[in-house]
Amino acid sequence: MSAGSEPDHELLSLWLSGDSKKSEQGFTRAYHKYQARIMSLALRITGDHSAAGDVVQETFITVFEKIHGFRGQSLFSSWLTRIGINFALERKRKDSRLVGFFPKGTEDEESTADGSEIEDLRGSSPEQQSVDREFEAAVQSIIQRLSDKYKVVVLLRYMEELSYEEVADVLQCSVGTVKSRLNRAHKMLEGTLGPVVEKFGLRSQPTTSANEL
Amino acid sequence: MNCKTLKLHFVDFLDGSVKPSLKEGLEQHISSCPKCRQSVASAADVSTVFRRLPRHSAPPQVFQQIQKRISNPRTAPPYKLQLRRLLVPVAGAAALILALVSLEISSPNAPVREVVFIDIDRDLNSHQKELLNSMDPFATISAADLLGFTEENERDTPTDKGK
Repeated sequence: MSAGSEPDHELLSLWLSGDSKKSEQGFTRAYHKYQARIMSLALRITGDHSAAGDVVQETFITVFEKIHGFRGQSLFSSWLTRIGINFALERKRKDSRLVGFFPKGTEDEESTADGSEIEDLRGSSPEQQSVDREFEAAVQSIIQRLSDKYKVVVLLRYMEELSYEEVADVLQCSVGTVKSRLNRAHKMLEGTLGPVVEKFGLRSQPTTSANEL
Repeated sequence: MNCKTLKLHFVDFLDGSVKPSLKEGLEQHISSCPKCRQSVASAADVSTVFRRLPRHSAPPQVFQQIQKRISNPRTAPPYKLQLRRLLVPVAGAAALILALVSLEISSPNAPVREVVFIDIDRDLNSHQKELLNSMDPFATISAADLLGFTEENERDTPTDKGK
């Protein structure tokens, strides 16, 4: 069974078995299962590959240190995701204060320098990779216009495809709050993504039905 | 059905989780209301675009660094993070000191401080000098008393010693 599909309770029972070898295996599997989620969320929140890598590191170190205090009041995945989001938001705040001191490099410079990989682009042609990077940059510039509160909800619901209940569990709020923030985010984004959809040929059919959404 | 009803159930409608009767009514409204049609189409774009965003994997050195820090907890956190943590307080403190110094120098009303030397041996008799130099913590007379610095009303203030 690959780490990605292994249920969390199995990872945790291995991790917390008390046997150092099994414990290491459990942690490693949890890392491989969730690192891409934390990296992708951190990248969308901070807009910086290097910062996102640091966030992944801090998140998993914290999870490793605090795992014995995890009481299971929320799902393990929600707890880990919440830690990652908090680190990413903290990092973004700190970096924004320092922008005047250290001008940031461009996105391309960052991504080639730190060696992070786009999972979905492995094996695709250079042309396709170029188009996908352009698409990503266009969306990223729109994401940055949303305030953090709304950005996080949209990312969890649509990018990570979590249910409303899971989003609420991550953010420790009610399902009603999640829906209300999502509603507001849709209002804020209205009309902004249409040109991106057109440019990259993502529109399938004109929709008026929820089934097509 | 009207725009307000759609607004109320917007997210559930997008999600397809509204009751069939409500869904039918909302769809009828949407087909006749250009503004609501635009809102629904735009929401569909949000969903399409975000689901299409590529997922990123952390670079391999991140896991190596984590393993290193776990096996040796004293290993420093990421360099940049550490440096940036220090920079703000240091820069802030330096700016504050500079501001205070420049204020002190430039202020025309800054008070002129004089250094006054006090000859503590002046006017003391030999017994008083002995008491002052003895450093006896239980001496009933204080150095301030000896030098005549204590106000009359302070001397009269009842203390625990008198109880």
